[in-house]
Amino acid sequence: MKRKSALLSLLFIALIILSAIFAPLISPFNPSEQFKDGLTLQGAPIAPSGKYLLGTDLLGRDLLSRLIYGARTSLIVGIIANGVAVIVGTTIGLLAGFLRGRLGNLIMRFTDLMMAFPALLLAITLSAIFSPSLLIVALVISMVNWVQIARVIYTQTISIAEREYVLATKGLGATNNRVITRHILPHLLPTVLVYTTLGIATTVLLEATLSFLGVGVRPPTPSWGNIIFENQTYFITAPWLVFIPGLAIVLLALSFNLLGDALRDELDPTQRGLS
Amino acid sequence: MTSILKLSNIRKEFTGTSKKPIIAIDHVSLSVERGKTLGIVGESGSGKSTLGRIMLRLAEPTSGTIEFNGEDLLARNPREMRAIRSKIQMIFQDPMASLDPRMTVRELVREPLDIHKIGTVEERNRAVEEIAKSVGIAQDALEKYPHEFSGGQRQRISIARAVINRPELIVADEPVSALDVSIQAQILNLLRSLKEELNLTFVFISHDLSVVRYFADEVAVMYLGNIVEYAPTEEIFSNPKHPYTQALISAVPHISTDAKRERIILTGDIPSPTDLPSGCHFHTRCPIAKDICSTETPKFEQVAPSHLASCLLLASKGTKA
Repeated sequence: MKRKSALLSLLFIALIILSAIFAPLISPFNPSEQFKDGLTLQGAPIAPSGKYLLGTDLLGRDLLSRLIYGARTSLIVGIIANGVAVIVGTTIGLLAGFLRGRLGNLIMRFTDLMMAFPALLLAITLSAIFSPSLLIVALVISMVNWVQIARVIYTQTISIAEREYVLATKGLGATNNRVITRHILPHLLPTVLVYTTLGIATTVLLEATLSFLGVGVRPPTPSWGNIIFENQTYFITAPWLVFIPGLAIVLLALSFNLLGDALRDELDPTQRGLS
Repeated sequence: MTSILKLSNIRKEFTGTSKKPIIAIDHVSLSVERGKTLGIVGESGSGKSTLGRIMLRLAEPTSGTIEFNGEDLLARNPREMRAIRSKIQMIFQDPMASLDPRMTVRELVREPLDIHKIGTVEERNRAVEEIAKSVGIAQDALEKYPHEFSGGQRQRISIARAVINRPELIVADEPVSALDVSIQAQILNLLRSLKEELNLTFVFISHDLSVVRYFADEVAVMYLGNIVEYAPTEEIFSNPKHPYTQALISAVPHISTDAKRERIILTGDIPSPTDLPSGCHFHTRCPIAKDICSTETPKFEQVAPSHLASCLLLASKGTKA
């Protein structure tokens, strides 16, 4: 059962990645082009039909093409922002948890400081300082998101570092380096995986929020988030404009979650082959 | 006889959340002769496990000195200490906790060789296969994980891991207490034959007197962080001097038809090490305590040839006689 859902998730993720890479080849129209027949005479978006498979948006652009190009933005932000956040958060949490003492405390107080700062405000400030580009948006998101991971990894590291096999390995004469990479990090992996997969959804949504506030990805570049926000006024009359990109975000996040779950079980020798 | 490990005047305090430190070990001095086995007995909370960890510097003593082969261990920096650790190994009580659940048996047993970079990978693997044979682990079990084994088998894995690097000294902290009695005997026999074969020296920590009697050449009895009696095994079992040792030995169940043995029953629990009793630490539970015991601290001194004990009543008897 688990394997089946993991396989489906993998297929879905592969589909999104492929369509992002080959966007110019598969997208039916130019995502920024406003079509003369893209709006009704009253100026309302067109519902899904023969020509526009998923309908058109408020400016008469093809939704399917925008979704396909938007996948690029969302995936780049999701993967880069989340990857940086997870790597930074894990490293900082692991070091603080392993070192403990004064230095560990100092690191964690800094983390607390970052946590106490309103994330959105920080993101807006940072994007205002650096002119918004895709990379900056990704980095801003990761600067906001590493904190929670660092906290969780910190407490986990403390508990793992106290386990007897860590002591036993030190007793064999192992260096700290070896203890961390061989005996602590592998045990943190399940948590890291869960956070990575959960983070995909959070980052895609945060990117959408930033785009909506005008400090994210600049229009007309589509992203799944800003498609939703641009079209939210048509929520009642043209619900597909909000629901279809929303569904895409949910499915992507869900796929990463299921894949992460299966991967975690596969990596744990005590769980292997149980499900 | 040369001593391989020598502890002098070891003291270990733990500072918890309260201001008052917990004194886990105090005034402990002992030496372990090469090729011999020193048994350390005591009930839970007596500080015997902490003492075992101090021997490897897995816990740092608050004061005192540790000499290993005449070298001052506490003066070694972390790098030198790592090298020395290949000579001193520890076997823990619970092999499920002391073996990393994410490593295969082969990786676990090979780890000491990997750490100290001994030989090529093929040589290490061959060494693992050899040692597995001598501790009784099947070859096809090497690719399995610890949770797939029984307690006894797991302890064999820990033992293989401890001896693969040809250490000189092994500190075994309750190595059989987590096992069934039938398995205990197998593991003890294995340890004994490895000791002969590899010329090992053992420190054997246990609360089980019959196990210590079987395994140790000399026995140190601990109570609340102090050694209260120290003597060769036969001497301590046939002629225990300290009332605490006498009570412990009278509590060992045994089968006999003749002599009616007096069972000495200690009342109460071991006092908290945050609030040590004044004078002799044992006076609160001692069946023969006198007034003097709560005010004066006994000295750890010779009461018979190569037999030391710390009891005020013994000492006064000794001087009178």
